[in-house]
Amino acid sequence: MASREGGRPFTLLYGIAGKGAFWLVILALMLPALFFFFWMISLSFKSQVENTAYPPVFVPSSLGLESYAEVFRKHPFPQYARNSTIAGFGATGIALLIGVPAAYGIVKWRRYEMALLILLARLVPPMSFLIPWFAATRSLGLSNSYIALILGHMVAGLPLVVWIMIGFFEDLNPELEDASSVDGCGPYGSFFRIALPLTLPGLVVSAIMAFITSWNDFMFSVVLSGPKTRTLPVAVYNMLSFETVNWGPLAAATIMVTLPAVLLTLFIQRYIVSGLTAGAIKG
Amino acid sequence: MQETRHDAARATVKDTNAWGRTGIGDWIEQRASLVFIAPAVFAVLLLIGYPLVWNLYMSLQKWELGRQPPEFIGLTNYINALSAPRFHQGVFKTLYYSALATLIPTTLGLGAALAFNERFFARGVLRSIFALPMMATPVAVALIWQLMYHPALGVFNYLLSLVNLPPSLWVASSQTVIPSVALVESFQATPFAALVILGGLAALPAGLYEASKIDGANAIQRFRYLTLPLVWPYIVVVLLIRSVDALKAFDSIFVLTQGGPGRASETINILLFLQAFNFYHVGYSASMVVMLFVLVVGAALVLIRLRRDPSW
Amino acid sequence: MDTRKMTRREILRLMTAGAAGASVLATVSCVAPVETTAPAAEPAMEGFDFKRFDGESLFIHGENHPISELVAEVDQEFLELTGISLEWELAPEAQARQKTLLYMQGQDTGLDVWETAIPIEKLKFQSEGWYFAINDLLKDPNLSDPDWDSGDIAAAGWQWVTLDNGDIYALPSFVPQIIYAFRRDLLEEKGIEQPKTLEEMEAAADALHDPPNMYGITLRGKAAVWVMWGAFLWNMGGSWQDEDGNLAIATPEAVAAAETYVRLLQNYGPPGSTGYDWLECSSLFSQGQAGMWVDGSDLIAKSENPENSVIADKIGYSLLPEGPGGQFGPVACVGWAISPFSQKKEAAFYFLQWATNKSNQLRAMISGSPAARVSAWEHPDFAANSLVPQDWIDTCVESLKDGVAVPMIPEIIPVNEFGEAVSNALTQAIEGGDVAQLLQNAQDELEPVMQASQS
Repeated sequence: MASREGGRPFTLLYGIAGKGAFWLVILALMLPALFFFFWMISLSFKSQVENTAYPPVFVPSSLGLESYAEVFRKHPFPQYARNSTIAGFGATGIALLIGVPAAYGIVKWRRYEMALLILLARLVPPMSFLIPWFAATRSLGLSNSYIALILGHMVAGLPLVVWIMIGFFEDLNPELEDASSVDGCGPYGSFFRIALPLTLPGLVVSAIMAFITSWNDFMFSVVLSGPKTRTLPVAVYNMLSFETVNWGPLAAATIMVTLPAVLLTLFIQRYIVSGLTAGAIKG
Repeated sequence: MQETRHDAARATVKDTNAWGRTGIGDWIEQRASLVFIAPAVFAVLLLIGYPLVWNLYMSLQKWELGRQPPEFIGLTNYINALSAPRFHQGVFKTLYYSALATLIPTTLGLGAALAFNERFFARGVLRSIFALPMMATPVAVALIWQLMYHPALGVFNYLLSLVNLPPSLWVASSQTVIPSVALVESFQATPFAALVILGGLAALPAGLYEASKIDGANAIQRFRYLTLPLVWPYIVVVLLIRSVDALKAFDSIFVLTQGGPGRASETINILLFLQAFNFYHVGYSASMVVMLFVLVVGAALVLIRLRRDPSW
Repeated sequence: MDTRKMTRREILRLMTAGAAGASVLATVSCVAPVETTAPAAEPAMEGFDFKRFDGESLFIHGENHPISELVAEVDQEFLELTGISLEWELAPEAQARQKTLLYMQGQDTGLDVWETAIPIEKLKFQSEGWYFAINDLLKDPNLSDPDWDSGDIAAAGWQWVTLDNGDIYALPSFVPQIIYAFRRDLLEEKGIEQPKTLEEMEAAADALHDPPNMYGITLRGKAAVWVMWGAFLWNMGGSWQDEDGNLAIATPEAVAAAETYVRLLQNYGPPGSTGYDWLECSSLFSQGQAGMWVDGSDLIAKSENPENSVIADKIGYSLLPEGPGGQFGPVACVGWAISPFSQKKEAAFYFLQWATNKSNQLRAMISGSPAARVSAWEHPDFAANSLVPQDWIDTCVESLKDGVAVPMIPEIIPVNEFGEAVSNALTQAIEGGDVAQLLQNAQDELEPVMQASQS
């Protein structure tokens, strides 16, 4: 707390332009998010005629939930939500199951070349997967099953988990680890008893990041999901059908799809900073 | 079986000698690094390696979607692509788009991080609102922007008209389409960049500034010679993640423009999608996949080198 | 591959009512079934066995436009009738077609029926053997529902789903056409006659043009612009190919069509027309901010729905006004086809018949989707329940007439590449490029593609 006056680079700005200018900057930074979400919500309450009117209608004439009702009436929305949830939990679970030990091993035995190999998964253009993956999943009888979706989303989430967890494991005090091996803990013991409990925040961050990655995925899901496993982003895009787009229900659906990801982000945004940077800076 | 494995694990922890040299417990103990790392590496090799090898193989074949089997033609696909003006245009547009979708969020993110690093009323809440777009579902976000961009009915042009600015054609004009699409991606990427850089700023030692102030450094000097070098690694991380994601971008371009108007926003990703699924030239498309992958890896390597060298 | 060399006359003949040469209009207005290319099944001795495939299930893949969504919504009726359950996969056009290719490429036995976008897929799928001929099934009295009534399907529909060799590979469900819609109320207000020629249409657009509140016209300017340009091309007296099957998209007629199109948009269109697909056009027109619109009949019909539109009941319709080459009705067709790799082809054939039966076609018609069945057009329930006015119906029927109906899309294998290149040229022209030069560039770019597809 000592540095209220000094230390912060904006202190000078305070002095020169006063608080007003600073708050203008803050307002400008908030504006895109505020306006976008306001508009999205406004669209979901307005009628179709209001939604395409010009000049635009800013405040809905009613707060009817008709658009939301229509989404549920016309689309098996709960089913899509269930599919997204299953794919998200499955992909996150597997990514943690194999990614966390890998990150630990990479740090402990200093096998950073393996980290680079895993990170390659993030560099591959997703388009390259489509045809071979589709062919493989169909011939293995995995189409329209959750397995293909889960594996596809896992590929996207795994590098994130490894990347974040490497940072957390590197932050562990090596003396603790040494102490544990003196106690007779092998690598397994020190992993489960020492390392995992101490890096719990990292586990939470990487789990949520992997989950959101899966939740938001579009490309894999278009090709790998069948009618029974269709996920929310695909379903929302499908609402842009051959007909005149009804913007109200579309906006209502986008709000419902986006909400879980946005809420999870709020929950972890503090930790994203330490999570992402720890791995990146020291790795 | 279940019980044996359980016992084995416990035995290795407590007393490695309880099992013979050739015992499974000993093996697990000695090869712990393998047990930890191998599953993830194996998964990556299988799930990523297979499509990569497939594309590499197909890129050397003449193969049209259909019943004709692939026919080996060496590097012809690569030569054809590299001599096609349309591919050159695609590369240029990819780089143009990526530069914008990397630099806009990084610059704005740096500014936002500096602002949010100050202490002020309701900082936590305001930062949370600022961060909201970060993880919003990209396809959903792009669909809403599409309506806001409508050249005649869209709310953006209306807002511009309120402040007496001329309307823009946004994604409807070849001149403005790439910046407009990059803006949508920047909308989501700026909070991400800001949060990462904010993490870097938070880690700065406060005493440093006291010392520099005594030396008589002004705000700009302090930023240039103190803050920037110290948060530089964090900025490189942002540049790295952003440029990789921007080079690979497909969803929002596809939703907003499908590469149009005309071919004005036809990045390599869009072009190779068209070539494979609309024009049936899978082999040709695979050669572009491989070249795009090389481009992404190249960009990543350059940035990783840059990370070690904070000087400009 | 052996491309057919088609003259304009041959194309027109192909569109007409089959071997008998009876006009489609005759088919539409006659109660008695006209002879068609489809063989009618002999009635079965006993009643038709609908439950023959009781307990089966079928996987149906299609596009999520109303013609298929309407059928999907009532699939319980099919289950009750036949005991066959249906699993649906409906996706937007681009994804649906992409996935169809993947199913075919993989010779996927899981796919039973798909909705074939005939003008786009016909020649490619024929050359790959991805169509399954249903001629024998149609003739089989044990499989053909006697009430299905093949004579009721418009002859143009039969033509679309029949290959050169006589194989019938799909049952048609949807026959959309390009029509011209204009604000009848505004023209009356200004005392302007309904435009009969392209010149009059341009003059009317000029008279209505009052930006930014009212634009004279809205037309597609984005990826699908080439389809709408085709309508202008026919009326200008041109076609995509010359009599020898060579590409002819830089001819004087083609340039004149493009110049008219570009001039309309540049002078009387909304700003940013190059960003307009049907969706943007529809919003603008339905909001009462465009004086006229040329597009698919089913898409324009949405502007008659007061829930989406402020101009319901204010729209007049006709075919695209006459040009130097005449006045035509470009028509396309969508149908249900059985995958050649399906293990349940006979059960799938039950679905094909049900999806295109009289009651389902009537449902489509009432929703504003031009059906392939004459009885649907003539049904009193259609007139009573539909939002579309008589004007719209007359225009659509007119488009199917002998000598009026023309293909909406060229019959060539690389039709997607063709459309993409032409749209690119037109988009650049709308943005101010040199029309003739751009079309010539597209022609030069496409010639090797055409040659490659023929080898």
